[in-house]
Amino acid sequence: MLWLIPLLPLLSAVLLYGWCQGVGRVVLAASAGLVSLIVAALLVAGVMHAWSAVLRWSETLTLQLGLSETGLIFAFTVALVAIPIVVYAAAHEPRRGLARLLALLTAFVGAMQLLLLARDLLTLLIAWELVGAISWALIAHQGSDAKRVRHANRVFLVTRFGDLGLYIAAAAAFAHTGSFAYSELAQLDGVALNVFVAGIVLACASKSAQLPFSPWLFAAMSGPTSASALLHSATMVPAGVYLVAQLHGELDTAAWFGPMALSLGLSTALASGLVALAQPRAKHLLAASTSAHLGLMWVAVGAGYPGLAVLHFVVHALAKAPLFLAVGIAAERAGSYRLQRLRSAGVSVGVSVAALVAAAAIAGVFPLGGAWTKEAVVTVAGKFSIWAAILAMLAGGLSAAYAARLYVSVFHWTRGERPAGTGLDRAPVCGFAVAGAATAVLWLPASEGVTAAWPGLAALEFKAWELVVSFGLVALGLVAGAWFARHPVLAERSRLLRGWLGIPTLAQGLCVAPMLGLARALARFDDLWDRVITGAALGVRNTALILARGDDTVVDAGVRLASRLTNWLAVQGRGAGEWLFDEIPQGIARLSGAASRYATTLQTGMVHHYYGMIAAGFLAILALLTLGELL
Amino acid sequence: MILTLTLAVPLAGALILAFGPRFREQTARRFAVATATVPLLLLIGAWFRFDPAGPQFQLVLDVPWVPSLGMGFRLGVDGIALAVASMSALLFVGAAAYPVDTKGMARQYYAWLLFLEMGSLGLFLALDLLLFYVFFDLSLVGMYFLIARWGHGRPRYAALKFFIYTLVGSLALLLGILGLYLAAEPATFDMRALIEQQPLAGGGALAGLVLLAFIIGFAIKTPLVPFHTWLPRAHVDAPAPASALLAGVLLKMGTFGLLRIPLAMMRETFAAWAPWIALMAVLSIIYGALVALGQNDMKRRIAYTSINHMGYTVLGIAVAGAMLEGNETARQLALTGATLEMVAHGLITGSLFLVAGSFWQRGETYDIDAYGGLAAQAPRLMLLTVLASFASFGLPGMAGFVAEFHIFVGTFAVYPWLAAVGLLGIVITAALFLQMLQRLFLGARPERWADFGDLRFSEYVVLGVLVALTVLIGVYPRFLLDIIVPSSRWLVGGG
Repeated sequence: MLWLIPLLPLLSAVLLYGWCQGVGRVVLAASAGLVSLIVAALLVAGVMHAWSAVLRWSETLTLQLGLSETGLIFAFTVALVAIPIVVYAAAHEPRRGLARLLALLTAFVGAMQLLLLARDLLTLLIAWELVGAISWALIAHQGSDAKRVRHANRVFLVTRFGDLGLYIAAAAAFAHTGSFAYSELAQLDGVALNVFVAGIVLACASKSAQLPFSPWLFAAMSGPTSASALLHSATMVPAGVYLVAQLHGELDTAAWFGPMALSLGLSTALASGLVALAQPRAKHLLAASTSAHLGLMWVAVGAGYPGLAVLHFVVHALAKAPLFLAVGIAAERAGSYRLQRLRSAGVSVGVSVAALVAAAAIAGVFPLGGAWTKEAVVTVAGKFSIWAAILAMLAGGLSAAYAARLYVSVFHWTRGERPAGTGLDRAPVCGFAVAGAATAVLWLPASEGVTAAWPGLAALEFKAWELVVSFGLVALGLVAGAWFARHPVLAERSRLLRGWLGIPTLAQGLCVAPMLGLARALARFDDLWDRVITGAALGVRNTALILARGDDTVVDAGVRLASRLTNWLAVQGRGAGEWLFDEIPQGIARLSGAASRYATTLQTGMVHHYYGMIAAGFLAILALLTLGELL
Repeated sequence: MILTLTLAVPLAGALILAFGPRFREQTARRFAVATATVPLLLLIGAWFRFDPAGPQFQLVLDVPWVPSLGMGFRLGVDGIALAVASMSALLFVGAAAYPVDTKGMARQYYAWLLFLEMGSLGLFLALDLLLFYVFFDLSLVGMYFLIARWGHGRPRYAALKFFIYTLVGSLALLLGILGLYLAAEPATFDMRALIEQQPLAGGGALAGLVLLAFIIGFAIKTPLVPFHTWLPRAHVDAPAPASALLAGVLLKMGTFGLLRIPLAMMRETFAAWAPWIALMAVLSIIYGALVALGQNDMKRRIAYTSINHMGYTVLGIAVAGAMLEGNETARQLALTGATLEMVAHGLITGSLFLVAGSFWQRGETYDIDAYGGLAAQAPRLMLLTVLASFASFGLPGMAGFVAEFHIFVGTFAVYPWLAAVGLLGIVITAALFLQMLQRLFLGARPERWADFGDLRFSEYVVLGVLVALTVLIGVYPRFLLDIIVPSSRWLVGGG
């Protein structure tokens, strides 16, 4: 039964694409939304009846699905976040190709559910790569523009490079334990363990846009806004964090994993925060912000609190999705994603308020849930080292700065008039904001019910000085962000930050260009190699000719045979009707000739000689054919 | 009996087309499709009669021919042969049904096609070395004529190059067969007896030479780098269905031969040489993918990806034979993967070459840059090209992934470094296919393709069936694995 959860969206996607090409927006919104709703309902049913599922490929390969705590929270979030997003997509995106877009978004949800329900590395790998492929199709959705497709290709290749890590991890696990199941991973040790952990870290870092892979998120911005909203909040980018949180127990047995994850997350959070502050475009600002917040989740996992990463994922999803959607609404009015132009868009009051809540959650402003999880990240980082805590606070300050910059640039300016349209695109934004505001309960003592699932987390106590400094940095960030909104000095001056610290350029120069160059050079070399071989064949012919000159009888026989063969080939080539009469008897003759030769050997007993002759005969045919063609 | 009929029907069909009533184009095509369907149905029937728990070779037919020389007309299948032969039979139906310009010689074209089918299926079903060799050469003849007479560009040159090059390979193969034959006691061409005997075990230099002869013979056919240069030329100038068959069926003869003869009959020598074979395979994987990336000609690009994919297959076979005992599960996985890769590559690359043929029929060029912006014009062509391309670079949910995953996992347990290097190939192939899709279907559309037509019904059906089967294997490969796994386990010595 558990198979229904990923299969339902995947199959519905096919139906949506096949049968809903001409239907209206409301029907599309309803049907796509309904699919995600059913997925959520199925998840509930799955929990109540403790569903699990197995598909046996062979004795050694088995696909397993099951419900784990971490997976379940992610799965619910994905299904519930997807509903408003598909409704928004149906209402907001261009009519052309709308059915395909909704089909792809629905399939995206299905593939992500498969990823979250997987209980073994093979199933995980399947889902992992499917998610990547669907994101390719989504980014390339408006494919008339070649640039978008180039970007889609870049996203797919960068993330697929990361996927190699998962292949290696799966192979290492199998080589050591003879199984792909998560439940057997505890047996790993020694080299196999280190290889496994390194593979998972590579795969997860690239998927969740950590350094040095972060820039692929910018390329992913070429997709439709609704696709970005889903991809950033729930279905693709968080997959990396999900996996490190899910497998934390196994990964943490490698001593280097914790420090590695923590420093990777911290450096990404800081760098991405700066990069976000310098972006001239709203979508790019949000993209960099995603890297930064995923970085904070990595910090939580690295510090040994995977549950905290899960919580931060939820609050981040509830804030990031509406910001994308709201930016999409504003950009439609302004005709551009540039922050400077967006100012003139003038969104409706409802959207403005919703964006304020979402931006505040991203900024980590008390009393929103986003603030609680961020402070918790600071605290757990502080258990690792005081410097880690300070850096996490700085990252939080940067978050506040770019969130403020975004809000002040785009949403602060509302219009009095009643907005046009059905409101189907605005309602999801507001819905998210309400849910986001509700996360404030995390600050209440009663929230222990939520965090109780992770023992360490429930006992977490904030330190006063950390809270004070952290909130101070947030306040400072807000002020600075508002200032930057009016004085975009960073966006204008700092090309390094705008261009993601030069990483794309470096990748282009160090990986892409050399590989393409090598490919072209090898292609030329291959032609050369072909000529060498042809030349060698010609050489054989010439040698044969020279030898033949010394021996008239051979020349006669050889040339005559060869020219006859050439003629014969020419006749064949011209397509005379009688060719089969020639060829089939000849083939039969050859076979019967061979047979009779074997028969004679019976009498003479000189088998070896005859085989030698057959071999020589083939050499002769070869030489003749060469002569015939090349003379 | 069922296997004999599988070979007799296409042969009879070829003879009827050649000497029988003067069919017209459409009639000849329908007749060929109908005739080609029979072996497919027969093999599906064989599938049901095949017992995975039974002996290695089943449905055996053994008619003595020259008993004193150990020659016989021996046919039979194991799970591996059955899987590869069924895929080939399906591809022949598709190739016969796919529209092609027969240049007014439809009867002859379809006659050669059926003749080629007889030769190819015969090779997979043969249980006698000499019979194997005869079918190996007969298929050469069939393909030679298909390329030379119905090709374009410089078809005769391409066909001759193909013929001579592979004939050199077949000569090496013949020498190897003779070496094996003479070493057997009593001398026999019976494959089952040879597998039992392991004639050249501990045979020192002679065993090495015989293995070398086999490897050169099959490396040319497969082809492995550096013996591959005949392939792109032959593909570019061949008509699309012949290209599909060349890649889908004929290349398999190399890898199939490798696992049927040296791997099974010369275990000890093979194990000693396995690292070198694996290295050559990894070289083919990376080199094939990189050279493919550097091509601007659609067909050459696909042709070089064949070298890459056959590299995976050979890697799987090399790993399977890497040792006499130990690591049975991993080696079984590798060999199962190699077999799956043969089936998957046949279906996927077969469809890709048919797609290339559709482009040729509409545009008379394979130059990727000559096209562009066809997405709106030919959505069905694009959908199937995208699916086939994604399948080719091993996207999960498609057959190629299942095959390559088996091979990687198996290889990793035996040669971890080679597996890691070979893994890079899947990123390069992804790059080259995505780039090709982008240049064919997206961007600005040149004016001259204003009336570029979408797929016709027959093309759509053939490609649709091939791609659907690719997806089926990708999602639920069990029906294949059930018959392949016991055979490959037997071959790696795991009981």
